[in-house]
Amino acid sequence: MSEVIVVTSGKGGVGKTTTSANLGTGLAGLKKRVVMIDTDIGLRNLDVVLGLENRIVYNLVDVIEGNCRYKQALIKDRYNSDLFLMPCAQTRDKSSVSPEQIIKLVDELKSEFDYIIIDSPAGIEQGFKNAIAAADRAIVVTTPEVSAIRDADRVIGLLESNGISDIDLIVNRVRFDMVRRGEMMSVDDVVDILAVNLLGVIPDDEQIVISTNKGEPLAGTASAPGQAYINICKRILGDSIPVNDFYQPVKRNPFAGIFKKKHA
Amino acid sequence: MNDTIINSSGVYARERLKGILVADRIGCSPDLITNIETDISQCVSKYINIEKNGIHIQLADSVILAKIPVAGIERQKNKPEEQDHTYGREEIQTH
Repeated sequence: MSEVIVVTSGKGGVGKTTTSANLGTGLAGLKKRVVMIDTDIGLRNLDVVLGLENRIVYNLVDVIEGNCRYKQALIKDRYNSDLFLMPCAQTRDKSSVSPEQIIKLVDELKSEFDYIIIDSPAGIEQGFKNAIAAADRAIVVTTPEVSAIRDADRVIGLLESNGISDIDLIVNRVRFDMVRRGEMMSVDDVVDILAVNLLGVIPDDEQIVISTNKGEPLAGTASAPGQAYINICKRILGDSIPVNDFYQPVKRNPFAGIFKKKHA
Repeated sequence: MNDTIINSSGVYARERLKGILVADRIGCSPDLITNIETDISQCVSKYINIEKNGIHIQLADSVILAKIPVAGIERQKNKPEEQDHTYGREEIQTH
């Protein structure tokens, strides 16, 4: 039984693509067959984050227009043979694809994969509508910033009105030192405001930049974000790992109340 | 230390965001929310002594909630003491 997950955010630059790459890598590392679909037509980046940019022959638009079979467009990951990328076209625009065409493609992919991860473009226009069309569940990525949370709220509303009720939240790029000083909204603040289930917290870490430089997602590595991502993947598989995996170091300080975790 | 947290930019961001989201969800401007708050404040204060600056409008699901802090709520704080008194009397009676 395969599951289709859309990774979305509304605002650009909050870490959708990095999250998609790490969820794909993490789930494949946990012995699942995973395909990631980049739907950011015209501004593709998932290939670069995965270090697969030189292997693209065909893309999503080629498959949809019938220029090739979907298997010809799929690119196998460099490290994990259970992980595949469906890259998107760089020289076309979002209107090259319709939601119905995405649904048809995803239906075909379901026979072969356990998880289909759809990396959504920023915004709430055509590209977003394409990305969510086939999704069973959504993961909304935000950072603890006013603009990102506002857009996340808008996107959550749009997901709900499109019949996607299974919505989880990842709070990305949290700087616990700043939260401790009161100069950044806490994860609890963000969860209270958005009122959706918290799937995980990714600490802000320079390792993320380094991994993107190399084109090697760090899900499953020993780094803090690597562990945070693999825990999120385990939660997606249904493991009950407490969401406060990255709260504990903070809990020992005098402002522990601020970080107290709410179990959804 | 708590004062620095309360006056910090994180708390300010949170409160600002709450206002923005109420306005976004209802589909009106943040100014309009402020006007509603002022009107409610004026209206309610005709009958009840309230803290005029403490009014806060929230949106929960599809319901608008107005939090109106009532001025002079010391009575409630006295209640536990009153109970303690009766407790004491009862004890005396049983003796």
